[in-house]
Amino acid sequence: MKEDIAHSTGGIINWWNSRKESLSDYIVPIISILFGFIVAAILMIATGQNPLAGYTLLFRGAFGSSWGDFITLKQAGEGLVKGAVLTLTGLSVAVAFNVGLFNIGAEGQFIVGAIVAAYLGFKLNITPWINIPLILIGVAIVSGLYAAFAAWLKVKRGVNEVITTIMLNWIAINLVENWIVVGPFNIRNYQPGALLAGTPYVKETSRLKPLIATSRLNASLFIAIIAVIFVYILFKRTVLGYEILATGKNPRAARYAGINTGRTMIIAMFIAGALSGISGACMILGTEGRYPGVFRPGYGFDGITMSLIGGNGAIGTFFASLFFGFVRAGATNMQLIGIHKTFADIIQGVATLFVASQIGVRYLILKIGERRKVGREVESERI
Amino acid sequence: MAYAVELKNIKKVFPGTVANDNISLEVEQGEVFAIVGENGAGKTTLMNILYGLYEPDAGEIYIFGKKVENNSPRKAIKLGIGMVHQHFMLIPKFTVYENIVLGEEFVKNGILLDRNKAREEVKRVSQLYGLEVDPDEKVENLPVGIQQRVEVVKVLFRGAEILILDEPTAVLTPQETKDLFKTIRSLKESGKTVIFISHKLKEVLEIADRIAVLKNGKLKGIENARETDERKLARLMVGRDVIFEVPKREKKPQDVILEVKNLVIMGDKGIPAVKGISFYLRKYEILGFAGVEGNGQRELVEALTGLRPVKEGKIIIKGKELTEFDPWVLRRQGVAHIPEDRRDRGLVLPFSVSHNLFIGRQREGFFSGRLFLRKDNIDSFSKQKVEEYDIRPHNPELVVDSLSGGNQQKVVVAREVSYEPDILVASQPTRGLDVGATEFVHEKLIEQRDAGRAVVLISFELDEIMRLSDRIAVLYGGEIVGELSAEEVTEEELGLLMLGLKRYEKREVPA
Amino acid sequence: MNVYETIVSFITSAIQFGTPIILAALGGVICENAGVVNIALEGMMRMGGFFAVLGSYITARSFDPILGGIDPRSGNPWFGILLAILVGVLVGLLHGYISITLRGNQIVSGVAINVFALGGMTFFLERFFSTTGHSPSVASFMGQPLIPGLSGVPIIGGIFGNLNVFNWLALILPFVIHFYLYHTAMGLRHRSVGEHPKAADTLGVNVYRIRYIATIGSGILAGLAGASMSMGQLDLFDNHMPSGLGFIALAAMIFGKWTPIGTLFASLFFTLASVAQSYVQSAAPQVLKYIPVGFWLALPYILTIIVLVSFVGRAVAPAADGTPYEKGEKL
Repeated sequence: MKEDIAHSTGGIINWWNSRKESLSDYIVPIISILFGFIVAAILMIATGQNPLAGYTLLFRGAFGSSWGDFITLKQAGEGLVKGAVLTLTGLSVAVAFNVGLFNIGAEGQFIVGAIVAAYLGFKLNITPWINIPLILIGVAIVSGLYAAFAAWLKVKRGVNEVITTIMLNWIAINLVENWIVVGPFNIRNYQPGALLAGTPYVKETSRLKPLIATSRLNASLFIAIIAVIFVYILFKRTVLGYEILATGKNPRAARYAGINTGRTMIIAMFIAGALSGISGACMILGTEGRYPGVFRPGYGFDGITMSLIGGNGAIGTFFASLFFGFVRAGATNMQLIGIHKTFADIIQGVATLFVASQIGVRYLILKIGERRKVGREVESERI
Repeated sequence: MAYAVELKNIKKVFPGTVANDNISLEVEQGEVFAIVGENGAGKTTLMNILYGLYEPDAGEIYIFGKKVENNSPRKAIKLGIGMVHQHFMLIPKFTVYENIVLGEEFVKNGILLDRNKAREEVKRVSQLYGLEVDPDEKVENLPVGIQQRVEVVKVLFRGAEILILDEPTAVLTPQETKDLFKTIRSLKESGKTVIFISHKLKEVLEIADRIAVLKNGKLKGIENARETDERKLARLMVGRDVIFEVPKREKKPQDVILEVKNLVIMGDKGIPAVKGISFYLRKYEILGFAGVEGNGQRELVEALTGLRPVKEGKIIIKGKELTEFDPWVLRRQGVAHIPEDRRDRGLVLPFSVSHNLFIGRQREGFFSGRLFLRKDNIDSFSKQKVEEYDIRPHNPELVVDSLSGGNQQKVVVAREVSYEPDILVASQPTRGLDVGATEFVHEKLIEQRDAGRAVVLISFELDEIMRLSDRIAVLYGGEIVGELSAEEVTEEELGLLMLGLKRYEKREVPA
Repeated sequence: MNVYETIVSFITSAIQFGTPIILAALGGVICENAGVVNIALEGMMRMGGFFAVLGSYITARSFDPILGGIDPRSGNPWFGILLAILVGVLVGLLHGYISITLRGNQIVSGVAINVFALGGMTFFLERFFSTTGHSPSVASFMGQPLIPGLSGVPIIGGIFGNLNVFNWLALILPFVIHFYLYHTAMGLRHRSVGEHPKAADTLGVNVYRIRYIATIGSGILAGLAGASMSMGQLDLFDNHMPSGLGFIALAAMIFGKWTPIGTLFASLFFTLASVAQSYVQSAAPQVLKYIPVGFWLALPYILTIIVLVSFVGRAVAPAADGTPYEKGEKL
């Protein structure tokens, strides 16, 4: 009863369990990202482009051409904003991974969070210091419940969360973009004849304002940093984190020993959903200002790669997200030589491929090392 | 004449251990050759090398005088070697004949699987050796004894001349073991060579012609079965004299603490696995459940520890009837549980020893406040437990996965005993442990009993049940077919009960 | 439209819409029955879809009399299929190499392939066609019945007369794969590797080889599934392809309990819901006033959850699904 379906997630849990912290935890992602850049460069060469020129543009796009100039601030801010949003979805996926669930549904939770933020941001109009926290709490609850539903189905009915979260993505996208945004909460309900698609703008009191006039960087970076600290402390210090880790690393042993694993999974998934939702809210209250007609930036799916490259930890995910935030911001600049900004996905994809192989690679290294060591021991024993 | 099997200087190293260290031995054709040793002595590794599953790091193998190069299972099969593994290599969802012909399928019209031919051949081989099996039954529906028979047929179907049986009696009742021995003798008569791996010395002395003893990967000696005895083998195996008895103080059972009435529990397949059993348990007593695996033991344990819902009947703990059935609820009622598979169910392997010592108790005030863990208390607690239970190495921060099996089990026992439970449910507490660790666990269980706790012991090892229990209940087909006091029971009688050939009327709960 | 015509067009469109899902889900079936999880179906479809169009495009030779330049519609669509298969083989090999040889994590590998396909195909679209929208129209199988003669045959003609090569594959392959898995010696071995690779290994079955065959086969099928969108339903590659159908295929495979024929019907179930929606939209548009279109579009997914919860919650995957196998592992 309540046994999990031995499908997709089994693998990732075993893989996660088999990890032990070591220096290579930090080296593997760096090497993987490096390989991502190399493979992407080969692709550029193969299609007749100069990777050096491409990467120079990417770097300038990310950090500007020289320190202190106008563009630098603007560009660096762009990378940080993207990084903040990625961090939040990355943490969402990471928290779910740590309880043994694969949250492909970050995208759906992100969209739910975005629409709730757009609605509350439009309805509430107090002062920013009250408005924004209230909106974020509302978003966290709704998106959290949306995600927890998948965990609840898994716990109660044994339905594979991979499938339910995929389905919940599509349900969210269709209900939000093909109903709410075009129907009951369309801008034309409030401003007849508006030329824009999407929802009305949120109130000024709900906006996350740019921190520096020249850049789009806003307080979402601080929200992301708070989330990183929250997740870090959750796993390092708290009882709940301990329960989440025990459940994720061996649900059976945790349950046998008396941890309420079902409840733990649902709570962890609630936290995951809340983080993705807040990520969506940050985009709406920050850069977008409202829910546009079509809004699928894909940050939910990117959260999966951020978490994987970051080794499913809070700090790792943060750095992976910041890094790829900059890559994404920079890649926009590559448009100048006819390379679409999704170029960042290529680097991300290849890097993830190497992360996927790391157990194998690491195991080979380990095995060779051990064999040498044991071989030596045996020989010395004989002497 | 050439030897059936000749191993020369075989060596195999696994990360961290030398599994086989320079082992040489010869097996004559037509003999039953036993290899004994404790768990981890290297018996199975050696046989997996012979069967081509592992490649030796050094050494040579000769089969019927011919040197084997680049060994693989496929090659070993061709050379006439067949292996019955300790954990059966059967696919539960497949039928008997599918399992038997896999890899050597009969084909018609070029590609079609010839199922009729397969059935006929399976029948023919099984009749030839008197090993009846139903080719069309799914393996998952077969009792363990029959599954083993399927394994033997599978090997014979491939024309094996040399049969390796890895711990074949571990899962059998005494009667099934007798049948197996009959089969082995008839195989021997028809000229087959049998290599029999075991750690049960009595059995080995009964069936084998010669006995090789392994210890820590090294060959300690080869004895003629007729010229040796249990004590001598045990000394070779363990390296010291082994005490076959556990000192047990007189029993002084007191008030009933657990009562089970007409308990019905559903199995995984939705049919009752436990069919209306009743029993009671008193303080200062160990109640052993004997029985062949798969007769409701797992379901009973899971129900007693809140892991499986109860369909009908009552569980009464300290006079209060249970209404909720969840592990965390049962724990609060004073039930602790040493589960049967420590790696899978007892421990969170990537956690440190320290973090494994309080799973389930993390919300107690000693271990945590409302939100945060109390690190100092956790450290002092785990340091104390590591000393008390001599969990080696003496470092509570080590990842528990890196400990030996015996020390891992000590972590589980330490945790469960530290609950100071009223009732301790121990399920196969010594499976896979070496003699030393087994002795330790046995001592702890007796200690718990003597401290006034009630212990439920489930084991498939009759010796263990008989050695530790004050009373023995026998499970067969989900029912208790007999409940006896440990002093008055014999192994033969238990065997008959375990096979369902005999049953007693239920005894009443004492007033 | 009379009743007969309605039914015929209903079934026809179910098959046409369902083709990519069926083909990709079959890819999942053969992969997971050998014990390798494949959530890269989405990415594999995307690559197959793009390279099919590219294959057709690069074989274009004749000049466009009106616009000048080479007419992209003059290529050979069969070469497109060939290229889609080739790409499928390569991606299958890659997934196999990581999952089988390196014993890496199969899910992470799948995620990586999906992410790569997303960016990679946009990159190629821009490189080859200088756009990030969609490719030009190429020679394809869109509206090209494989057996046009059938349309004259009574009763079945209405349905089968319109099917292109991909639709036929989607109808026939489930049975071919069923036959392979359950009635051939190779199929028995294939399933044994997914259930208990160690047992198979002890009997001399080559676990690695079968798993490679499975991942490659799965790449081919997913590649064809992508081609069936870009070269069967349309005659171009749109940058949104396959817009999540790979994940739907994954769901169809689980819903079909990892069997080819079960998967066929599960895929058709998903399609029927959306076909029904488009019928309601055209036949009774007034309904949409009361039930917004967003609900209709979400309906198949809501139904899937309901069905999974109520009927197949305990579907059982092949026992060794997702577990890397290592020869000589310590028991």
